[in-house]
Amino acid sequence: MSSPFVRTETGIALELDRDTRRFIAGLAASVLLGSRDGTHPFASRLAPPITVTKDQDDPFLVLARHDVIATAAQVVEETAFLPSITAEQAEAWFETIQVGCQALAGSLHVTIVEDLDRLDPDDRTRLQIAQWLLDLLCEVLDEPEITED
Amino acid sequence: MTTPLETFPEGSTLTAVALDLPFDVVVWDDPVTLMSVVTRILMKVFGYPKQKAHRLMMTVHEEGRAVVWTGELNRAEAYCVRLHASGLLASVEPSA
Repeated sequence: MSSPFVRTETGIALELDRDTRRFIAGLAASVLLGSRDGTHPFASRLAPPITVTKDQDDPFLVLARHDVIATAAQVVEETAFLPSITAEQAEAWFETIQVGCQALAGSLHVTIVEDLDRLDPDDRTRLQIAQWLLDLLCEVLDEPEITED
Repeated sequence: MTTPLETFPEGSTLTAVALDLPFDVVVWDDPVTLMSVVTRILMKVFGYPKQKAHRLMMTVHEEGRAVVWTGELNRAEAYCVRLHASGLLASVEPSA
């Protein structure tokens, strides 16, 4: 099966079906919500301790992390249904889907590989789709840029 | 665990000494992150060549954790924030 991410001269063409785009947009929305709301199931994995020997991390660092995560998630929400994205937007996709994959696993209490076996099939499928997208994004982002000669 | 924080010279201030000590940025293994993703994030955040990033990723995979950078606290914390924002489990701890 060919990759839905295709490198072009202007960026990356998205040959994704509507369901996959909905999944990506939903994951980004959950990341955004989790970064704003400490009670969201994604929240704990989005804000882990930074320095283990400190009672409390520098609030500036915590805020900076929140901003980076939220900005990337917003880019994904805004571009999820476009026919193509720039390489920079694709980096935001890569980061948000990976952050979302981690946060989803955290919300499902997946801490060791064996935990994956006891997941509801729908939840396992969501994680697998995220991993599939990340694998393909890795491939396309590692390809050299296409330049006009 | 004995940390360098327990060995301060008498009279020194906690913050000043702590900032002078080297700190490690540690990446932890997790059951959902792909190996290719870990390698790519290490290349992107630290600018490591693929071979070094791959070697560090294998250490994470086989030993459960790897020290991916060592240096001053402020930079270690900034790197850790980048790793968190990229979706890796990471932390900063005093260098052994």
